[in-house]
Amino acid sequence: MTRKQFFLVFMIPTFIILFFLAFYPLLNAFYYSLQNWDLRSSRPIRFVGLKNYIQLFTDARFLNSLRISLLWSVITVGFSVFFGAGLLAPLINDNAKGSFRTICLFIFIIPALLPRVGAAYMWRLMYSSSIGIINYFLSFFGIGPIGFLENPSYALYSVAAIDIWQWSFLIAALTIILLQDIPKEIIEAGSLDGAKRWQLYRFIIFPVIVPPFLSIFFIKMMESLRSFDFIFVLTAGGPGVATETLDMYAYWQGIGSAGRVSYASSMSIVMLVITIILITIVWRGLVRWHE
Amino acid sequence: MARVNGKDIFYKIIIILVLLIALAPILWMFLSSFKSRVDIISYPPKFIFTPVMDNYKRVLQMPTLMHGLRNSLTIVPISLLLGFIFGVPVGYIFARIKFKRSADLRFFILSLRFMPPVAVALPFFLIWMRLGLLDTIPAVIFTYLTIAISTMIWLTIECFKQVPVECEEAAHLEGCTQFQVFSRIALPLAIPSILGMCIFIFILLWNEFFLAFVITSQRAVTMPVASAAFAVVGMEVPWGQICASVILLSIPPLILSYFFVKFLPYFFKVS
Repeated sequence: MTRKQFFLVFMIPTFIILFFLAFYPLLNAFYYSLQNWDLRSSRPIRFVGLKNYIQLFTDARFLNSLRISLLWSVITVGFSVFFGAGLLAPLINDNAKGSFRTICLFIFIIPALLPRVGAAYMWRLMYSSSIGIINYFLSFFGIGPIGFLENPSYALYSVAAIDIWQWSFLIAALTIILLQDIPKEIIEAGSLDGAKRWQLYRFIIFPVIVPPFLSIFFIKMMESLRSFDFIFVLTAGGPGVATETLDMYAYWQGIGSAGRVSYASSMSIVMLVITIILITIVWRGLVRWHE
Repeated sequence: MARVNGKDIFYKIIIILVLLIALAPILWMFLSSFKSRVDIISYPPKFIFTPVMDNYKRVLQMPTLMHGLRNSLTIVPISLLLGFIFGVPVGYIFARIKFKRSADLRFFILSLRFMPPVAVALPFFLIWMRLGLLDTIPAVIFTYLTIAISTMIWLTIECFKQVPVECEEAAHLEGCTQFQVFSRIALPLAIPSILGMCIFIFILLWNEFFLAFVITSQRAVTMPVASAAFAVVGMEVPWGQICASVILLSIPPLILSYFFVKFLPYFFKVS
């Protein structure tokens, strides 16, 4: 088998599948988004042009979900990178050696590998305002009981805390592994020159781990768009619409209860466009900053 | 010296507290899964109680959950295997063969992983509905290929790049065909890290909720979907059963995480 045959034999089937999986659903969604298809209605399906899109941007509930999604991403990315790379990774890297360090790493990746549905239930049990262990501990300090999931002002942050819990530890573990790869000589040379601990991090370690770290940051950002599992199990978008993210709203509209397939399709197209724009901006920015 | 030791102990305590935060939710749910119906909803929460197996017994007799478990055990390995067959050779091609548009195709693969789930789920729901395949195992497997193949390609590129290129060049000079170089040299050398990636993808698919939730309802539900059904069951939350089913759901990822951690270094660098 020549190189060219090998290339064609393996590339073509895989990319046929991938192109189909990627573009067929999206083209379909775009097609439906121009119609007025409604699963709960018997009226004939016809084309309505951009009506769904125009309606979207006057839909207060849609604009609210857009805001919630954005807030969700900023909170979860910001805090998990801060806790994970900023606090936990240096703590372990400087203070845990040998097998203790390996145990720490092992425990750190556990929260992220748990099924998100499972993690959501674990926290829902702990958050409960009637039987929850968190409110029990808070009661020692005379606080509470707090309705973590029932109070509209806390609900989003309470759910985001779970995502931050999962990701801080994972990001910490990944950062520690990155730190391990830095040649010891560089760090020793730095210490001999009398550099302080933070100076070592700032001027020697930081520049070395930035490129791989940026890809971790990027992955976390993209994963933040997947908030549905937590929100569905913990609040289902409530109370009211306090935790209703874009995917939650699109789900209710298209599949859940309303059956407005076309309207929900236009929402998923808008979401896709926003994601593509964001990815491109962030990706370009990261690349430029790195250079 | 004494001051250093004091500082040492201080940091050790902090680390242990941190580890406790990482594990507390899992431990608490594990404990609760052995509580009786009365103990689980008592306040203040009970730390000492008579453990009972009632919750597990009940969960193991629930048809939906057992059905979900069987479906997951079918869907996830098959998707993973197909991901391997279609993904690994392509990962090798990206790592070793230069061709036009290589970077664009790689970005396409990356972007598959990052498509907003709703943008994928809703069209798939409609497609499977029209084909009459909604709520069937083949539909779930085919949908999961989006994740399995793209992640497999993306992760194995790095695995193959770590194989010393000299080995492959030597094999080429010996007159091996490209396929032989791949199957006899590159694949065996990269297989440890590729297996690590397979574990990762297994966990990813095992935990997947949203897509399965949208395209299944009864016959083809996966384990996470079956467990999540408790969330909408009604007013009284059956905490005992939830705890037991969540622990069952979490066992495979927890066991695999032990193997996974050994492969973690492969994710970034050859050791």
